[in-house]
Amino acid sequence: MLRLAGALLLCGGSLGYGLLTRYGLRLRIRQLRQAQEALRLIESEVSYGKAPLALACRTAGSRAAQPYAAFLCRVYEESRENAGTEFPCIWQRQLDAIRPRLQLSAGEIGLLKDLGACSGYADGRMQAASLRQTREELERQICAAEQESAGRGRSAPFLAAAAGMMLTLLLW
Amino acid sequence: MERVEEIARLFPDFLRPLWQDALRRAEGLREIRLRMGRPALLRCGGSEWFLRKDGCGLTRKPQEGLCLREREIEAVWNHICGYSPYAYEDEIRQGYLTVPGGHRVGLAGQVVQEGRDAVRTIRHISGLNIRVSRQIFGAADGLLPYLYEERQFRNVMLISPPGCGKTTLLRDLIRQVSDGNRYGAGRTVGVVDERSELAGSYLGKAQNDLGMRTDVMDACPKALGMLLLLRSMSPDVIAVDELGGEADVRALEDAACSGVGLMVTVHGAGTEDIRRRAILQALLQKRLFDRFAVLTRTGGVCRIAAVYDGAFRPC
Repeated sequence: MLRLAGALLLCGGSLGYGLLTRYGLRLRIRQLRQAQEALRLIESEVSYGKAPLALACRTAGSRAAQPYAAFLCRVYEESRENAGTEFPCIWQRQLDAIRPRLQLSAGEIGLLKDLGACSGYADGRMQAASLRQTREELERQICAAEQESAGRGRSAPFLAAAAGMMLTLLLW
Repeated sequence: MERVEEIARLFPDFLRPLWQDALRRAEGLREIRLRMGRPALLRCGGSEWFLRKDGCGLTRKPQEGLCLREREIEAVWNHICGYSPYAYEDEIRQGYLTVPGGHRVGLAGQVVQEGRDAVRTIRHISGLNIRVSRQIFGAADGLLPYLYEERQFRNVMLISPPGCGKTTLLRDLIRQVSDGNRYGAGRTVGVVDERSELAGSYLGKAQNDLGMRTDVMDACPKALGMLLLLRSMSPDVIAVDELGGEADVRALEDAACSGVGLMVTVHGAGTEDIRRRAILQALLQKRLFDRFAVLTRTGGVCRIAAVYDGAFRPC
């Protein structure tokens, strides 16, 4: 009886791990798309509303998905408090704060972090262009992530379940 | 203390402690001048002080003053405009930016032209002039008795050279006329604040108190602003700072002919100066103004030197 329970646990755990891997890969794509959408919202605030970055973050934060909504609202709040911290530092610090909730790779996080340093343009078109550039780069990352998801994401649950069953047979 | 905090908040964290201490010591602060490679200068009343490089307040000796490097000027500028200079493009073209508290930051740097006469932007900022906005409640108390006859408001022109408190006086005058005072009931005042100096608007919000019946057209050319106010806001009195061009004068004539009261300021040392200015001749000949107040500055104190009636006779 105990052996049977152990076998079920092992198989179930392996399958769960596989499903979790697939979920992680899909979540990464979703979060990349959400980041892209948040940047698009900021870009339109900058281009059409000529809103300062902090205000653009507030508006985008009210419409973006979590965890980016929280991130953008915190950037706005900290900028408004005006403790003297430079905008790129605020941006990076708040991005670090939501990092545990992000499923993105280090490169993708770096891409978003670098955006904070791309501020202070005298021309709104330049500021919008830097946001657009990051969005385009995110699009490339999404394509790569989708390819990865299509390959690894589909096979992960089956491979994990098979590995679990094999381990069960070996240990039986 | 609030003003000290407002000004100190214009500086990024690595410079702020130095400035907080200095600003607390700077009594009667009027402006701060930051120039690349030159000591930071504070004008307080009639005297000049420099920010000490050791961070211990102020000094009279320039050689002991803190010289700001290019990176520091850039950091201050970026901090002032929230790392979003593009959002203030129009103000930058005019050469200044209004910040929270209604203070004004003038800019010096490399001008990028658009066509022959238009400025596209200013880049490589090399100098900043932070002009401290002052609200002196009651500044116009001495002038008010001359501005009402049988509780009716009389058109007034304030005349003075730069730095004699014209704008400060006009600001208080607007507030008192708008809220009402012992000489007359409150009136609807329309303010055309082309340079955001009177209301000190920051992102559309007035930072200075201009009274409860005041409507402000912020950052709007004077002539256009007067027309818009007349069309849409039905003002009893229109206030304009630093009357200049021919279009302004024409718009002012139209306003006066519509039965609207006028409060304007012009540059000049006295009534003789404005009588010589060709652009103002039409206004003077038509006797659109009932009062002329001349302001002076003696020993760092601004005061009303004389008040004249419409025929330039002393009141």
